[in-house]
Amino acid sequence: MLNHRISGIAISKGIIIGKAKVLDFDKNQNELGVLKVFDSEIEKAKFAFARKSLIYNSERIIDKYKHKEKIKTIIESELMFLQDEELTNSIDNLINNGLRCELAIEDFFSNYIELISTNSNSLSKIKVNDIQFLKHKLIQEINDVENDYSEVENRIIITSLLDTDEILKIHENGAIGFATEYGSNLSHSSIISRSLNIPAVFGVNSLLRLVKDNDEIIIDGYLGEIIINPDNKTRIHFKNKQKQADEELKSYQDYKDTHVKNKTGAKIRFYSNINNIIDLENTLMNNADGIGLVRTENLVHEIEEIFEEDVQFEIYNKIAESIYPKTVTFRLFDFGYDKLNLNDEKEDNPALGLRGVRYLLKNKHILETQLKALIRTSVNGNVKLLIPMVTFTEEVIEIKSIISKVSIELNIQMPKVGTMVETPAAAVKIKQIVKVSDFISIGTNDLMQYFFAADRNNEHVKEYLDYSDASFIKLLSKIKKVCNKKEKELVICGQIASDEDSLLHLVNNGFQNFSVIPARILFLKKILLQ
Amino acid sequence: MIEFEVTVVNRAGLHTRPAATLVKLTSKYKSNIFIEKDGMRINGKSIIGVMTLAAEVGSSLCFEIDGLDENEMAKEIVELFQSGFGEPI
Repeated sequence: MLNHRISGIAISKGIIIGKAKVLDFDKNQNELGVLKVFDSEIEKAKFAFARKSLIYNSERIIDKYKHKEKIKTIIESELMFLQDEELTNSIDNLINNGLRCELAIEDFFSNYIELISTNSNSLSKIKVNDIQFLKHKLIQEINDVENDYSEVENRIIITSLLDTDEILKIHENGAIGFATEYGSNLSHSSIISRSLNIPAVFGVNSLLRLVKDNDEIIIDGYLGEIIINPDNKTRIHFKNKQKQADEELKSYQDYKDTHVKNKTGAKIRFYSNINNIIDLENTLMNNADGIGLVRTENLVHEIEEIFEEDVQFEIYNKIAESIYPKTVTFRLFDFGYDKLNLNDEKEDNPALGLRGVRYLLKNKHILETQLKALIRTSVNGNVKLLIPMVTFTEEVIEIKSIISKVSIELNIQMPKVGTMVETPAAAVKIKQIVKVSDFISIGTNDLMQYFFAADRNNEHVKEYLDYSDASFIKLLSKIKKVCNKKEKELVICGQIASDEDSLLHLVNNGFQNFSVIPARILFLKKILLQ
Repeated sequence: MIEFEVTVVNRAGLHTRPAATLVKLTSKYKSNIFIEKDGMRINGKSIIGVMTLAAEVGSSLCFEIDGLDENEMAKEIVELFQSGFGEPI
């Protein structure tokens, strides 16, 4: 097939031409697994391999953290768990009974957790969490065994759906572009693609059927198109377009120190959203007005760090020091849903489940460890805290009382605490919420998906997530009015502020503070100035 | 073979860390060890087994140790439980 052009959703800008590498993870999924011949020996070997590799990994971490008693003990107990014959025997038995390796692991752990839960009156949450972590790690390890990232260097990755971990791994291994069959503009994976500055198009129908390994591919991240096996003319056209895009990117640099004002002369501020250290570098490079949102759950790479105050402190402190004297807003862990999900039971509706502040209030040991690290960081004097996924005013009050308690214990002045408005309930009762919050940040990605009742990871309903819908803008304007009246700072977070048209619309409606991915800031300044 | 009973005294009970400490101890010895609580009997050298007991503060565990070094192991176990695994009592 020559010069075949298909469109999807523009995810991350840029143009790239290269050879395709098809990663068909779907083949390995349980649902489709029936197509594969079941071989219990292979399944057992897969488990043994994953187990060994985790054991090796644990030993390495124990060595690395040998002076950090808490981490060391947790990993040691994990190591013992992995080396326990009971584990190997039970899993092997389940596999012998016809279960695939991943299902055997799921089965073993859910039975085990249930057993512990029924044996214990006041179930120690820590215990169950530890076991959950181990299950996650084993499953992840098995996926890694199956996913081969060795041939992705300088290739364009063609796959069905990418999760954030996969994107980072593929990126580390040198891939230059992504195209996927599923996924949407608001998903976490799309945010990561943009923050890595890698051209990407998601939601391309029949992609895996149309593209073969080593096909030549052009990804146009501006139009959201891919071209399979371009002819010479098309190739030259896109090479020119790529050159122009590079030059345009350079031209943004002129806007680095420019201030943008709205028609009443008020300053428009662009803060950055941070998921990783690359974003921090981009923030400094693009001269953001500060950091509007640190997604702290994305900074956690080893699950043990959730329990290790010092490790968290080092990461948070590095960010706060780098951006000083500008401010940084750390959002408390937003576990659950499409982020790191530590919930014990599988949820039918994770987007409506135990996430954000709901999870934290039920897992106070995790919350308090993070607060200690954050409040120590706040000594820098430029730190603000943000509570995710608030539904009730009482949640804000309860979290603030815990923050106050920890601050007193540490003898540090309590930092400012804001509320992230991302449920329609919080948006509607904004008057009460504002009273107990030092500032407000609107999480538009989630607010939109709950407002329009349309999953932001589902490309079939993407047209329902309408940035320009008058009723949605009206809701935002109501929040602004209340914040202005009470003189509380208001920041708009999320994809809506990165979209040229909706940004203009918001600025014309009087919104002044936006938090966006750092790589986008200069471009948005340019748009507003024109 | 010796049999004896101990009580969990540390406030948090036999959670992951104490369970790991106990298994580390039992694994040093050659003798076989079984622990029983509320009719459940597990291998004292398996962390998975020990954690299944979900032993909370105040609960009592029956130990059954059999082997050449059973006395030394028993002595250390009793001390470990009495010390509350170095945790708040």
